[in-house]
Amino acid sequence: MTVPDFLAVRDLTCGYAAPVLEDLNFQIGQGALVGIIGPNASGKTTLLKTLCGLLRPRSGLVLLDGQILHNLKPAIRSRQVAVVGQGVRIAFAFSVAEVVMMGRHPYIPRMGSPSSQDWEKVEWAMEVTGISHLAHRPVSNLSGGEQQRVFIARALAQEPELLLLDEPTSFLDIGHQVEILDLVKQLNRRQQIAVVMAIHDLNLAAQYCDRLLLVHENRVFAWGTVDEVITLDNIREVYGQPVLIERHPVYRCPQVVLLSRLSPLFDQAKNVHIVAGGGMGSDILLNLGRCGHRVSTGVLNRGDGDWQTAQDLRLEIVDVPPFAPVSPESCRINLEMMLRSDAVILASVPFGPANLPNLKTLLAAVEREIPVIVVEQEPIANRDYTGGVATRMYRKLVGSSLAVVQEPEEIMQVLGEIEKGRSVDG
Amino acid sequence: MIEIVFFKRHALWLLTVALLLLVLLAAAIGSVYISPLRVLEILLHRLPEFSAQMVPDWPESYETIILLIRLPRVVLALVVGSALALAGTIFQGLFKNPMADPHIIGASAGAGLGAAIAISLGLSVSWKGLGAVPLLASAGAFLAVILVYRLARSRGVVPIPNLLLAGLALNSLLSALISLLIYFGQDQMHTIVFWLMGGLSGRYWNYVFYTLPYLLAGLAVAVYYARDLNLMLLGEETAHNLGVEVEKVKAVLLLVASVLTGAAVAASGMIGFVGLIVPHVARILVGPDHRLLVPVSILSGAILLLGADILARTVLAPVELPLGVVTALFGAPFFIMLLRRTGSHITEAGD
Repeated sequence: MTVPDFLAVRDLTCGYAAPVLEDLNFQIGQGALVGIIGPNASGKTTLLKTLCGLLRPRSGLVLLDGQILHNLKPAIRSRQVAVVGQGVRIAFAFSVAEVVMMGRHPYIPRMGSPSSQDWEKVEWAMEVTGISHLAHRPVSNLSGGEQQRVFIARALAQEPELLLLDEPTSFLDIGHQVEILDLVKQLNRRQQIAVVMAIHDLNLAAQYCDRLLLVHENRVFAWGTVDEVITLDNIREVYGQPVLIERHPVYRCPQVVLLSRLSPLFDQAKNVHIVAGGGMGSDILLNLGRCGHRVSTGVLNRGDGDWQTAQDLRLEIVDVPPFAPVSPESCRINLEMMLRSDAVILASVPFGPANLPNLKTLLAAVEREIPVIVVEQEPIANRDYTGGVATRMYRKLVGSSLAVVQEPEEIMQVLGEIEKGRSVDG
Repeated sequence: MIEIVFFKRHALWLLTVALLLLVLLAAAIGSVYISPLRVLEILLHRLPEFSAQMVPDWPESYETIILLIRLPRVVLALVVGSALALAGTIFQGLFKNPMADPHIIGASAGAGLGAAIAISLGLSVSWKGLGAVPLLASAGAFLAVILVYRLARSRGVVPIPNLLLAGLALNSLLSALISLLIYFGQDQMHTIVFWLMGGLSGRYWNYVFYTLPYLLAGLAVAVYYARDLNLMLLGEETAHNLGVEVEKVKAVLLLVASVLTGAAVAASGMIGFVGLIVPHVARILVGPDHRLLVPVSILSGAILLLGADILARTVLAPVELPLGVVTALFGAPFFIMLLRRTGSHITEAGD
């Protein structure tokens, strides 16, 4: 059975002498895997310290399974919440098994010694985390990745329902990062342990977490699914860094690609609308999107190759059902988008009766003095399936267009010459 | 490795046997030599189970020498050594810092000032007064520890350089205050100076009776919190997350270690380095687990101080060296060696 608000944060303000995070409200279900992301010093660690009971809230509540976390007795709390801290190193020569056994502290009576059940739990925790073979080694001699496993094993020995991790992958190389996060995900799925981890690597966060909490300037900036939080606008706003949001080629989760701030493209980002279709526009969509232009496209049939590309790039799309003709309503929206743009690009699209209205819309845009760039990779005659209607309209369009280019690469150059904010309604 | 495992398993009884042998030796040596076997006979004769079967064949003066002069000094050495070693073990555990020692961090000097105040107020004369000396010494130690802890702590840890510097500063201040007391306290000057040098000569059973309860209480608390102390070694936050009531444990144990230091200083003056050397060597021998480390430290502390006292009495006999001087002669080089060996960690701990 899953409890939807297993961990609930209500009007929480946390911090030290001064508040670090204010008015937090969110709840986490049992078995969720939540990442806390945000710039350095945005309060990720402070929030974790409050969630584990180390810091008392300045105001508001943390409810764990309906009970006020900060009122729980330490022994009771530590049977439910376990923490793997950041960059902890042990200087004293405890053996791995001894350190993992420390996780049983809340279960062993004072002056008592570990029961056979405690030893079973310790052995299980070491097995799950793959450190059984290290049991008798001194923990101070292990590598960073191995020590991290020991700490996770110790946390598991607490049999927690909530596991908090503070930057579990910092100081580790990529192999160990993936190893540790795979382990965390496995534990989360198999043992139904809710996980909340602060993690500064946005791509790993997007790849491993179910939900993300983006904190910025003392507030929750965004809270939701990975797709809701890792967006171009959120990341640019919070980190002040030009990025691209791509799809992970295998897992389809969003991935953040960093761009140099030295690149001139970002001062020149433009609103560009692309008339695409039949897969002929994909390269253009990708290139312009990647270079940071704000791209919209339409009218496309859902499921079309270009539509898929635009979807992956999270572009603004006007679409109609598969194989349906372009409707008057979609034409109206399409024109609106064109009028908002600094330039409109017509890809080397084949025309049939269904998408002929797109050409009409383009002509309407040209009349309103919107610069149009025509891409002609193939003569229009070869891609006119309307018996000459499309060809006539196309010729008229070419006559009043800003430029006709043969290759998509040339578009950039033409776009660079267009002044920004030239569109009619700004 | 095998030797260490062997020692870990048998440490307690090995140390106990060594301690008993050393006790017999210590009681045997003196201006009149009485063989250790004879000492054993005299001691056993006092026990009701044995006294019936034994016929005393030694002069009665031997009994007086052993029971009233040498034995109290021996037992006091054991108690003081144990108390200092236990205090050092607790300080090192709480500060997660192998350099912590009652002497270095200023606890001894705090206790010294407290005791000096008690002596210069004339409280040392009466029986009750003798109780007042360890009490004021403990209070002085506790205040000094709190102060050093506050000064040295940075972002939740007590880095070695901070601890050493804070201890240095406080030690200078406290010894200046003690000098001031000696300077103005004309009448008690001699008593304070003699007592400060650290030693066990002229201490009889009354000192033992006033010091032993502190040690037993401290030992009980240390054993009670041994597992918490283990967890504290992993950092206060980790200890908290594993269910330790960190602030409470810390306050109780700091108080206990201060009281142990105070009692030891009140009984024997300023004896340095026992609290540094013993926990360190004990940790190398039996590992960092306080459930074993605490009893091993206590036994080792007793052995070390008794051994040092034997040296103090015999090296230049009949002249007796101050005990504090003997421990410093061994302790200071050890301290320097430790500092060199952990030198590479110091920068890490400081960042």
